[in-house]
Amino acid sequence: MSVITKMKDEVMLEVIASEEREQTPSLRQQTRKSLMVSQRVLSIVPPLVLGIIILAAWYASTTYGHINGLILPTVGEVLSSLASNLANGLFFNSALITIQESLTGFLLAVLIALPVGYGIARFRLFAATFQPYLAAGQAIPAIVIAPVLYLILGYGTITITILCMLIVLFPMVITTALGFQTIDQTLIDAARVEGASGWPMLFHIEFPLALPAILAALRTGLTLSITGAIVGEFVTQGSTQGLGALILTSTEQYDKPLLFATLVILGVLAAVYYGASWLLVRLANAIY
Amino acid sequence: MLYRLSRSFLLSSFMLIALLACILSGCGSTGTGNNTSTSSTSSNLTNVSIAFGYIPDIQFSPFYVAQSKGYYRAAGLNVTFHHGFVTDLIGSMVVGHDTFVMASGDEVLVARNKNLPVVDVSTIYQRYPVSIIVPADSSIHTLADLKGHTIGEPGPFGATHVGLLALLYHAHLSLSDVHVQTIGFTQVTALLTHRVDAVVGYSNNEPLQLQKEGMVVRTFDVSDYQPLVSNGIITTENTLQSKPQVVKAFVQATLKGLRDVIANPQAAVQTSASYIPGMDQSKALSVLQATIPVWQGDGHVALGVNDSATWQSMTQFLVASQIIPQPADLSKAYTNQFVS
Repeated sequence: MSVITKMKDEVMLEVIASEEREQTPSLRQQTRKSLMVSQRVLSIVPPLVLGIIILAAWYASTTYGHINGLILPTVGEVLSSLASNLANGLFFNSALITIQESLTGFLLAVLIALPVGYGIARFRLFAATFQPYLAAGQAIPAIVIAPVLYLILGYGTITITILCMLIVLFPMVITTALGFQTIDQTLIDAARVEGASGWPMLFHIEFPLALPAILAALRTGLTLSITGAIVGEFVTQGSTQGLGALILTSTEQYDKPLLFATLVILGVLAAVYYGASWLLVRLANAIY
Repeated sequence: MLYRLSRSFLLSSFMLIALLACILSGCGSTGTGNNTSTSSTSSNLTNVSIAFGYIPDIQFSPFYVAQSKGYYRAAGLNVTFHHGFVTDLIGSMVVGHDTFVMASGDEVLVARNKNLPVVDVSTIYQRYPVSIIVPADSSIHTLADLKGHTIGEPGPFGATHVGLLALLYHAHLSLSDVHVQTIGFTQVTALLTHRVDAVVGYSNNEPLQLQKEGMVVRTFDVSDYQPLVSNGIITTENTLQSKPQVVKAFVQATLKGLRDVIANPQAAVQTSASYIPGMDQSKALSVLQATIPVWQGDGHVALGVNDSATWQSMTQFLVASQIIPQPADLSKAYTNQFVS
């Protein structure tokens, strides 16, 4: 064939190929778009429908059934309690206290859990010494520790914060220890051959390798910390602030709409915590 | 794809920043618990505190009114209120967390028996407010009818338990003659749903709640059958001996507040609103109106006075029920030197 024909053929092939490229990406894009849409629909519509069914059943049972208002208040009462207490700041102030207690307890637990987890993974003597106490400490219910803490520390959110810390500590220690224990030993050995040891080994090799487990520990701890704060408020002597204390108060005052409204706020708060814990994962992904 | 990622990223970062802002805003506060004292920079006010062992409630309105009208400040005191459930209120005071507590006479004797040196410096409730409550159509018409029935009580502690024991003692029944169930603070629901035949509660609380829910009730009031010394201001012997002027100032200011509340309950409800988050005004007023007779008693004893006859009668009952041994010196358990 002549050079020109070859060139013409090549150009023709190019044109046909580029036309194909333009068509199939858009088809791929269309399929992907419809998949995303159906996933979105799936994640929103079924839960929404279930929520509506539950709300309707709740409304029907309180309006037409003979359920006493002290056992189950009406949807309207709960909504009005929700609205009025959001307006007067009661929920905001209470939530602020609970958030402070839980985050402080969580951060304290992190400060303790990471070194202790590392110690348990790396030093057998350390593990043998402290593991029984950790396990026993976890088994003791908060309601037993609370009066003792109160006698020592007195009134104030410090007692609740310490209780919250104790509640989230053990799961975080175990997960962190597991993270350090399951690092591929060959990588450690290779690093050692290169001359790494001590702090550089920890920061540049072991910590990044254990990071998935540590992140899992942090996420568990963060989500558990709100339970810890609420439990702390329930059992701590003299507690009157925070969402847990508000639950106690509303029960004591037979104010069931307030109780249910507080539970709604708690649910929203737990969702916020869960959303925030995702950010930790993204942060770690960005750094490492 | 990248656009969707950054939107959820923004949302979760907003949540984390919001959470961090909450914790940082709390770093400045010292978190001393619910502190409703007037902020005082004056150094010649003595700091005292009282623990009520209960959530903020209209029954503490004498204290709220005394605080609000400045009676404590005028008497040289900077008073902090500690609310919230505390299982060992008197023990907590002896350890040093509070200057005063609000507790009943029987608790004082039980504590003194355990070598906790505490003294009742003023009785605020002249009637023991505990009652056994039954539905109006119940078959229980006298205390003796309680035999074989189920009675719900918050638990084997506190004034409700002692009140139950006092009523059973008076009817010559023992705990084994009845079925006592621990139901926590769910007396209203328990009686409404007929889970139990009777409940033990406070005459200024549960009966009102039940009537609001449409159940007519009858009560057996402990104060009608067995005199018991009810709630008052308790302090340690140490405080009494080392700071008697502080004790006198606190008692006098509180009694002044008490008289104001009795004279004008409506105003007391208004004043107390700022101390009781989420207070229902009409409910508070009806509770207050039911509480005033409890404070006043039958009138043969002045407000705040410790009545020796009631103390002696109560001691007899406690000893006979084997709750405490005979105290060595009963007169040391209470005093009226600060009341007049």
